[in-house]
Amino acid sequence: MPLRSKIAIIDLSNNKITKEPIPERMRRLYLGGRGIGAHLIYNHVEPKTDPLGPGNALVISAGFLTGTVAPAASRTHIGCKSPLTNGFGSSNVGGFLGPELKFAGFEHLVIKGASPKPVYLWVHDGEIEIKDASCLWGKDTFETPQIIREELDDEEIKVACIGLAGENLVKLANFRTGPKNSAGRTGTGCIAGSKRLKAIAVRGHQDLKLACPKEALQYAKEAVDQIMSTKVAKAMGVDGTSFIWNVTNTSGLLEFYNGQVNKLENWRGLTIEAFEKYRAGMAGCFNCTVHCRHQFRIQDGPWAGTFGEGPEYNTQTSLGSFGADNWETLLVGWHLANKYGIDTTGWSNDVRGVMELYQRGIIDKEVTGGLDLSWSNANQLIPILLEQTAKKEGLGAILAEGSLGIIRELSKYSKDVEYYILHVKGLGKLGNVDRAQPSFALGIATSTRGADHLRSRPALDHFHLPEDVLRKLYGGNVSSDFRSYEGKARMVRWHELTYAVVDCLGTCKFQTVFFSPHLPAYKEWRKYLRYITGLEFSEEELFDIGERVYTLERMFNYREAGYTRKDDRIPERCIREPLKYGLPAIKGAHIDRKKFNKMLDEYYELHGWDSEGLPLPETLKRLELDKEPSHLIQKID
Amino acid sequence: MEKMILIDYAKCTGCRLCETVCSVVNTGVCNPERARIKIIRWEWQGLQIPTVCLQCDEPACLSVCPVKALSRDSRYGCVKLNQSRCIGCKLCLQACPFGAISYDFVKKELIKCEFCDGDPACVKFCETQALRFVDLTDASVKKKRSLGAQVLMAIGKTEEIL
Amino acid sequence: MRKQERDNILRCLNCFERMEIPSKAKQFTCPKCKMEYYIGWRDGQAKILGSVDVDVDKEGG
Repeated sequence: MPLRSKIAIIDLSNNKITKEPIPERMRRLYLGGRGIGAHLIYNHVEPKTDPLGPGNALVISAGFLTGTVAPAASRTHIGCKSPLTNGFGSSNVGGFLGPELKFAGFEHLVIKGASPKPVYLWVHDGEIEIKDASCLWGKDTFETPQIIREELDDEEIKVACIGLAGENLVKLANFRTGPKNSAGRTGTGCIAGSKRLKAIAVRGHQDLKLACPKEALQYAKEAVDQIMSTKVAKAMGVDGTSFIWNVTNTSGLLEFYNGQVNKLENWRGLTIEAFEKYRAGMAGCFNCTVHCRHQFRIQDGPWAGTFGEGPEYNTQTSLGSFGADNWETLLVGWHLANKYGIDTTGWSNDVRGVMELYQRGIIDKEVTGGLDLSWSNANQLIPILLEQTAKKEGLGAILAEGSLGIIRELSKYSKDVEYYILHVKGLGKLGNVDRAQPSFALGIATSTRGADHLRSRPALDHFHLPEDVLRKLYGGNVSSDFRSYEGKARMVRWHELTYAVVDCLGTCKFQTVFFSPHLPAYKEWRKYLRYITGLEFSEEELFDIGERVYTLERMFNYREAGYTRKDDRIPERCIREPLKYGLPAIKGAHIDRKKFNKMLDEYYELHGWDSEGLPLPETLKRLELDKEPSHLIQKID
Repeated sequence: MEKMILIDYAKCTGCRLCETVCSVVNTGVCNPERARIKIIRWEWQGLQIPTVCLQCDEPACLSVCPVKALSRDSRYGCVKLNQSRCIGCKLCLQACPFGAISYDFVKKELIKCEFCDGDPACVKFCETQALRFVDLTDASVKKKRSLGAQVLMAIGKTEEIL
Repeated sequence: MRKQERDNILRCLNCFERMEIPSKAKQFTCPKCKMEYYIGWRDGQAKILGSVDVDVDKEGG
């Protein structure tokens, strides 16, 4: 079979490395990328283990098509048992790491145990070495790749690494590759730190054989033409994901001051137009024609000379939600979060909550270590708090524990603390409104990694597409109004499974039905798979793979953290507090508890789960999950 | 009609799709290391530049080759390497001041860009048109037009891309 | 020749009606619900920059 990428199991406790092929059976069940990654995590993480202990596994999974001619085939999935949620830790990253891993002969790295001293992995052309990282420990995520390239005398080495935050076991620590690309969410960097794994360095010169090279290339051109003819590809190529900000801000769909208000008077300072003076170009991930990565340079002031890639919509809403009113504050915060290796989304979410506690007098300067956490100080506070979090100093020591840790620590001051720290299952949320859109609310409540907007966010819900188009796409009635509950359970489930397939393939979500019904989906992916891998999958089979992966992740959550219906909830604020401002269509919106629960029932039924959100026996059997844990790799020839 | 791959390096985004398609067309597999074109990136400075054989009129590679394996093809104006004559001494690799010749370690032969028989794959796939396949006679005025458009936009004479 | 989606069609964010924006227009009023928007242009593509006179937070949190 083409591609012939391997799985490597790396035991850092015993310095043992084994390599295994990926049987075709595994491809048919889990495809690759996030799918096989989920299976590996389920089987290799010791049940009920301490996430920070050696029983956890950090799994790096390049997509099935990553590194090939499929458009934007650049993505890699990184997973573990999350220190924030105790459930499924999962994050996706672009750039160039995944393709290089495939050229080095590997699709998955399963990193187990823990090293007694700092190490990094050197993965090159079928070989893996565990190397001493004592001279890298303490270095940030900008210096580390450059030091490794110098040590190994090769500027083309791709490096993923943790910063100070990961080394200090900050639960929001991420795993980064390049100036911007980060596997941000769920604390994968913290797990790497717990294994004293500083970095993974990769270099590959091996062939990725294609089943039908000529057809694959021809179809790649057709797919690129399809993608680049859309308006959204053009907008992304010019403004990156920040093009979304003007739209959501105009509507009143952004959250400020921890969701207390949804539109600010001084919004002009944070538009993409105001970013112009910092713009230094656009860059692209591996094989991507959309090139949505901003580059910025700060020309003057105390941070003159700072260069970086970004920002993204995510960070613009996260760091921009404190009341910061200028781009420089955001860019500096972005730069520092990247340097230390901290997830901007989760961190911002938690800091907003703590700042509201201060606003309401629930905590005071004694708790904050003397800091005045007034919203008007946002510009000054962001860099200070980022450094404190990375070093676990002052208030940072509390922030480093994530949403649940903050609630645990500060609840002694008031029982209302839980209301103000917004999270789902311990993961903080994006500063984007989700109480006006039932589909968004359902998505964050049920996402297998906690409050997350990429597991299932149906951006199409905002496009007001004709209902016959929606019926055809989703296989049932779905209202074209994003404020309606009708059919949204069906919509969310469809997107969950579809994005799971995208993450298995390793192509970029932004070049799929995530952003437009005209962008590639199942019909196109079948062709990618046929010409590149030689394997034929029907649309139903792919959809089933998505269902299998999603259900396995849910099973992991139940096994490790006991998550059931009671945890598929949204922050109370989204129910109790209607939106104060915004366009007439938005103002006053909030989630209706009864309607939400009914939508949740529909959602469980569509998935084949019981009323507690657990897979029914017949569902497990249909998806061939009834024999998990299966150690499929060892048993199948 | 002699042609060249005109590089507008300001438009390159560093995506390296050109390397991937070059390797597929020329070797049948995905392996950017076996591509004839290379994007050199300085990611921490945000810089990238495509590098490819410049098809010199008086190629250093041609003049050092002891077995006359290299020759100029007048059809498109590219320098071609005859594999059946090549002895793999790698003097051409050493002599080229631009690093245009590289070594394919799978087929164990020297390789260079030969314009994909007049239809370069890298140009076909380059979305930003950082790579264009142009007649040599037009190349200079195309470069001037490209630069002129950027200057006029930079000084505010136009808001649209010309 | 690649067929591009039209660059001057936007949806009103309030009533979702399609709006055909005249080239280089700086403001536009939705023909259906009369919501007024600031319009920006980038590479010939229209986009909504903001809305005119809509409720915002003036208290500062």
